[in-house]
Amino acid sequence: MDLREAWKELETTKLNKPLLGTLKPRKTSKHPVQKLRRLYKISTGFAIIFLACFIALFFVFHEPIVKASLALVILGYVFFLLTNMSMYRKIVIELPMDNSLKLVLAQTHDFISSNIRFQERAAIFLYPIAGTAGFLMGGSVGSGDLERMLKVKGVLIILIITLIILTPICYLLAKWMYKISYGKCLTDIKQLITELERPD
Amino acid sequence: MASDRTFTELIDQNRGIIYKVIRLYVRHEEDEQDLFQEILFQAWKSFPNFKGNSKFSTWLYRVALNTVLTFKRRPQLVVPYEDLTLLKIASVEKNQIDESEALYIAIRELNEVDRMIVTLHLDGYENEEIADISGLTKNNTAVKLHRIKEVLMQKLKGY
Repeated sequence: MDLREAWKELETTKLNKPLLGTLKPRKTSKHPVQKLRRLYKISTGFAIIFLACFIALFFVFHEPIVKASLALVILGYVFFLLTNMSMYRKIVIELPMDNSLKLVLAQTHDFISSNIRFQERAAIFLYPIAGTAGFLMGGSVGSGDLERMLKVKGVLIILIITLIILTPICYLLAKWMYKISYGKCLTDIKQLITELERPD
Repeated sequence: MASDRTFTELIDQNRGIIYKVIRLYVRHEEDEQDLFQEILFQAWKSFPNFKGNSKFSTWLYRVALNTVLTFKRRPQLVVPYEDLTLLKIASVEKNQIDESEALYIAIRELNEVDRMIVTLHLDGYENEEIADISGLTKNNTAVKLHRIKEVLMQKLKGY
């Protein structure tokens, strides 16, 4: 068989024929990295709202321990916000689709993996801090006197046990959610990179 | 606006490249439509980078391949109906499948990297251009291409 002849025929009879269905151009991308970019925009928006709320609460509560935990939460959120924004800018700058395939695949893989690592770290550090602040604020509002509440035997133990249980759960949940969302995509991309790097 | 019109004209002239890439890599109709729109979107976004150092068709081919291969596609849930060996067994005479259809099936059976290399070659691209598009070295491209052609000829024995 003459491969080029068969290919030319295949192009005319099949490959170059218009696709079926509605083919309207759209204004947004469904590419996995662009989806992440949108998620960054949304999470940045939410982080700003939460940050504003925590700053307001910082002035509402007067107990030093609540203030200290709120200050920690605020610092955590500021760090999260800055990292979020830098990750967002990185996608805009570094992912043009007209580089070589190997480079595009490597950038996509690196970006998605570093994003997953970032979210998992956030799950470890941010959730316990936010959990503690929530517990203390709830205690302060519920009991009316946080200092007295903290003196009640077992309250701090409950807090510690809750954090010990919740932190790994949040971490594993974040890990699992990202595996469901991006696991296959990452495996496929890694497989293509390996294939490109494999010497014949 | 002039660049809008130029882009639309260039895409209209080279639409076949997008159809071809989609037909070679996608199996689900919904994915086909998604990918078509995605390639247009990515091409439009990257169009300001197009300096005319290569032909627009080559540039578009590159964008289309990169988009399709990094896009999250639906997993293949069923055994492909277009398995060449099964078709060979099913058909009483090999002539029931024509050469071009057999080539299509054989190419689709290759892994995605091999598929890209051989289809670029069949489209008339030089090894250097294929190396540039894929990110392989020129030597590795030549070696891979030789091996892929042997595999293809083996699959297509009898056609």
